[in-house]
Amino acid sequence: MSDLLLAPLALLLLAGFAVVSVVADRALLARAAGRPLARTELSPWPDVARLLVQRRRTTTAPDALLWRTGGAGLLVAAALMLAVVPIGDSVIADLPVGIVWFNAMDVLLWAFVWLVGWGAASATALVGGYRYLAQALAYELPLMFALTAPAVAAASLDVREVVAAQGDRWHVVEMPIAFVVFLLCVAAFSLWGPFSAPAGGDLAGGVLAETSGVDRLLLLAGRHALVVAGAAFAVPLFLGGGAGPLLPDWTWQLLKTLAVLLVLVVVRRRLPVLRPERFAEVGWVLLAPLTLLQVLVTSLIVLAEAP
Amino acid sequence: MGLTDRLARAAVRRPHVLLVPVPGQRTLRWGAEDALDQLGWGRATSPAEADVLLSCGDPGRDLAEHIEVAWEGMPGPRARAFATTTDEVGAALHAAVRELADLPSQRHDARTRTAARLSAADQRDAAPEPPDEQAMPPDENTMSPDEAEPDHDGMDLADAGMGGMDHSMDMDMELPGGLVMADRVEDRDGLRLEGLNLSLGPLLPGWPAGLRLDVLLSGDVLTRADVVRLDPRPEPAAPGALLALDALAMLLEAAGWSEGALRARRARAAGGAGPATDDLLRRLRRARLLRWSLRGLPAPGGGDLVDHLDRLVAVMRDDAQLPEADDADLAHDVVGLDLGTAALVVAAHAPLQPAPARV
Repeated sequence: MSDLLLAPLALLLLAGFAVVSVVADRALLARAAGRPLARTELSPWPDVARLLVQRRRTTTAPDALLWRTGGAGLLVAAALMLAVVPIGDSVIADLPVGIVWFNAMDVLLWAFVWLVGWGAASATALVGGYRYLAQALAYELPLMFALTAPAVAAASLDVREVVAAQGDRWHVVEMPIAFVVFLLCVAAFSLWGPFSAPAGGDLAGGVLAETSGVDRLLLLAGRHALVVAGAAFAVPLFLGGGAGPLLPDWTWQLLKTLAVLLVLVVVRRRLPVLRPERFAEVGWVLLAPLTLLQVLVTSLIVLAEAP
Repeated sequence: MGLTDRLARAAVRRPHVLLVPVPGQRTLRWGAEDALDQLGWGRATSPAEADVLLSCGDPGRDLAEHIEVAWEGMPGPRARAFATTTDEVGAALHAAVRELADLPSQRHDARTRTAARLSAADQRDAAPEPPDEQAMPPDENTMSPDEAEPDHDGMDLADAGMGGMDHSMDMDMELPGGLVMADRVEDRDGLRLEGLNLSLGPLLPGWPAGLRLDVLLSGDVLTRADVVRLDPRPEPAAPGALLALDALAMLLEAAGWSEGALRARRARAAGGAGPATDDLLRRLRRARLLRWSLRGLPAPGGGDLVDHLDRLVAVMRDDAQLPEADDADLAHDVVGLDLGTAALVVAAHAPLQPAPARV
C-alpha cells in the first residue's frame, strides 16, 4: 500500500543520512590532514551556518528564475527518488513503474544542473553545465541498462515486486556488474567525487562558481541528498530490500543504505576527478556493452529457472 | 543570546579562504597553505565561495586590480587578511575572523554595497531603454551591477571582439545588463561559433602566482591563448624536493584529487623526506586512474603529464633540478584544449620558474 504519512519520516531520514555522509566525509578529510577526530572537526553545523549567514550574490544579467529553479531542483529530485523506495512494508508512492520513476528523476537532473550552469550567465558555470551533459551522455545508457537487469529478473518495474522476487538470493549475486555500474552512475548524477568535474576546481567551481549563501547550500545539500537517495534505491534493487535475520525489515533497509552510502563516501575521497571526455569513452565502449551483457545473462537465468 | 548570535558564531568557525599567491613570495604561500591545512579551514575555489581574502605578500599594481575584482565578487560577510611573513599568517587569519564576526561592521559593509548598487541602478533607469527587471531583482543582496563582472577574476563577456563597448550606439542592440553580443570566430573544426575573450586566472586553484591566461574561447575550446605574467618577480631558491612536492600539490589539486594534494602539502611541510613523502609516493604509484586521466596532455619540458608526474617523483627522490617552464610553449600547448583541461595544463606549469629570457 502507498502511505503518504511516510513522507515526513522519509524526509527526516534523508536529512539524517545526508548528515551522516557529511560527517563520514569530514572524518576521512581529518585523517588525511592528520587532525584529531574532535566533535568540532566533524560537525557539519559550522558549514551550514556559514552558508546561511552568507549573502546571496548575482551576476550581470543572470537568468534568475531558471538559475534558482535548477538550484532547488537537486534536493527535490532526491526527495522524489525516495518516494518509490519501500521502508519495511510501506512505500510513499506505490507506483507500478517505480524503476522508471527513479530513472525519470535522474533525467530531470540533466535539466537542473544545466540550468544552474546556464542561469549564472558566466563562462565557467556554463562550461560546468556542458560538462555535466557530456558526463550524462556517458552514464545514462549504462544506468538504464543497469536498472533493466533487476526489472528483467523480477518481470516487473514495481520496486516492491523486485524486492519480493529476490528471496534468499539477492540480485547482487547474479548481477554484480549492474550493481557496480549503478553505484558509479549514482556518483555520476550526484556530481560526486570522481564525477565532480562539472563543479571542478579547474573551472573555479564550475556550476557552483557563481553561487553563494543559501543557493550554494541548496546545491551542496542536494548533492548529498542525491547520493543518499541513490544508496537507498540500490538496496531494494540489488541487496534484497529489508531481507535479513533477527532485525525487522525497516532496520535492515536502513543499515544496508548506510553501508552503501559509506562506500560512496570512501570512493569520493580516494579517487581523482575523471575528465568527462575520458569517462565518455569508458561509458560507451566499456560500461554500456558490459551492462547489456549483464541483462543478457540475467535473461538467460530467468529462462533457465522458468517452470 | 538569540539564534542570530549562535548562527554568527558558528558561521565563522570554518571560514573559506581565497588565497592570493604573489610572485616572489613562494615561502609565504607555503606557510599560508600549511596554516590553512592545520586549521582545517576551506580553500575557496572562487570569490563566490570565499569569506576571507588572504594576500600572501605585497601585490604589484596589476595583481592588485585583480584582487579588487575578486573582493567585489565576494558575497559577504567578508574580511581581508594580509601577511608579509610566514609568522604573521596565523594572526592575520584570526584578525580576519574577528572582523567576520563583527556584525555591526559587516552590516555596514552590506548597506554600503547595496546603496552603491541602487544608485547605479538609478542611473541605468534614466537611460531610454530600462533593462530587463527580472534579470536584476531589486530585493536581492547583490553587488553593484557595474562592478558585477560576469565572472569572478576579470572574465568579461562584454568585450568579445567589439573593440570596447559603445553605449551611444543603438540601444536595441544592447542585451540586458549592458552586455554586448559576442562576435563569431572559427573554431578548430572550421565552424563559426561565438568567440569570447576571457581572462583566466590568476586566482584559480593551483595556478601560478600572477599568471593570467588571456584566451579566445569558442564553446569551451580555447582557440587562442596569451600568457601574461603580472608583476613578475624571481622566486627565492628552495630545495628541489620541496619544489617538486609543491608542483605535485598544485597538479593534484587541479586534477581534482584534493586528498592527494593535501598529502603532498603535508609532505612538503614535513621537509620533503620522511614517512609522509613515502606514503605519498606509495599512493602515487597506485594512482592508475590519475595517470590514465593525465595521459596525452602536454607537459612543461615535453612529453605528457604522466611523464611530468614521473619527473617530479624523480626530482623528489634525487633532489634534482626541476624543468623550467616556458610561457611561449604553454600558450601554444593550451590552444585546442577545453577550458578545464587548459587550467590543468597551466597548473602543471605552476611552480616552475619561467625561463629568464622569456619573461
